[in-house]
Amino acid sequence: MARWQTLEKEAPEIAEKGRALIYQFGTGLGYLATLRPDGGLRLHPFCPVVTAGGIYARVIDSPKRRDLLARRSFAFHAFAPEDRDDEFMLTGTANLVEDPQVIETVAEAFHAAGATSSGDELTFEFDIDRALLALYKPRAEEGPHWPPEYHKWRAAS
Amino acid sequence: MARSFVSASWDDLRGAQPELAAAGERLLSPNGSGVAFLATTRKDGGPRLHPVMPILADGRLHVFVVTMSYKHRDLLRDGRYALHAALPEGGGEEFFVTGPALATADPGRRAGVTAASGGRLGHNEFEALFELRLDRVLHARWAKWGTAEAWPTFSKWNAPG
Repeated sequence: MARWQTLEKEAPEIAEKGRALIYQFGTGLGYLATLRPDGGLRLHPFCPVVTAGGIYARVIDSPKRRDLLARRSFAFHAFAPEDRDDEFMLTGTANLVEDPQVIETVAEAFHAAGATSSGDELTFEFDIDRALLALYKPRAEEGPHWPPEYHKWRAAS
Repeated sequence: MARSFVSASWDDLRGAQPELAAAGERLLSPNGSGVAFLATTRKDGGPRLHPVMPILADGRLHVFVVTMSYKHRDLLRDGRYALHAALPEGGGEEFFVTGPALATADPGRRAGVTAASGGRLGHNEFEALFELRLDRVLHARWAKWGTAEAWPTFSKWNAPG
């Protein structure tokens, strides 16, 4: 498992284009898959925050938060751009952040990006096991559009 | 081997909760042109997440999955999935279903799904067809979306059994 800053150092194109996909609409956006108590899957949109060398989420009390606290395993996928099907996916483990300074830094970055807050969130950092970036031709261009150009990275074990 | 689940077809959802089914059809655009996100279960039990294009045909929800992909292996091994519609422009609504995905080899079904996609999908042997059976369905409408006072109203349905 590795922090976002390790991805930036070891696979800068994946990190740079991944970050651009996360923030393409201003506020960070993506989908977060978590594991329910029965091992099934849960999937919801959320607002990731990339700051201070990490990728974070601020999560209100919800089934998704209980999944992250109890089972921790996650998959993240950024929204696709308007004109092509580019993909950015991360998998790994979520860790509850307890350092008040980090929590404050994440909250500041969260609000600076335009996200709103109810004030009772917990902050999680996502430790990354694998990253996948898939770059497609624009839909307006002549096909074939599949397969895309894949870029993969895996954290050193 | 896919696990055994209590599950329902999309037509079962229509019969039981027509407004919920209509919301799903509006938000998923299940004609092979709308993008949704499909979570599957990796070999180590963790989640994996990729975009797909759902297709509604003959009262059943389907996806084509590339046979060379990890998600194809996931679905054959475990079968459990979660599907979330892309957020509509302006946000404010979510549509989410879970259940077992069943591999479907019937040529007639496959032809019907390809036709329902407007001929866009399902022409290649490497596109494997799965029916997304339903065990849970959730539609959320958010009041004051994008504000600190945002609050959801949920409509839910669980397959009987």
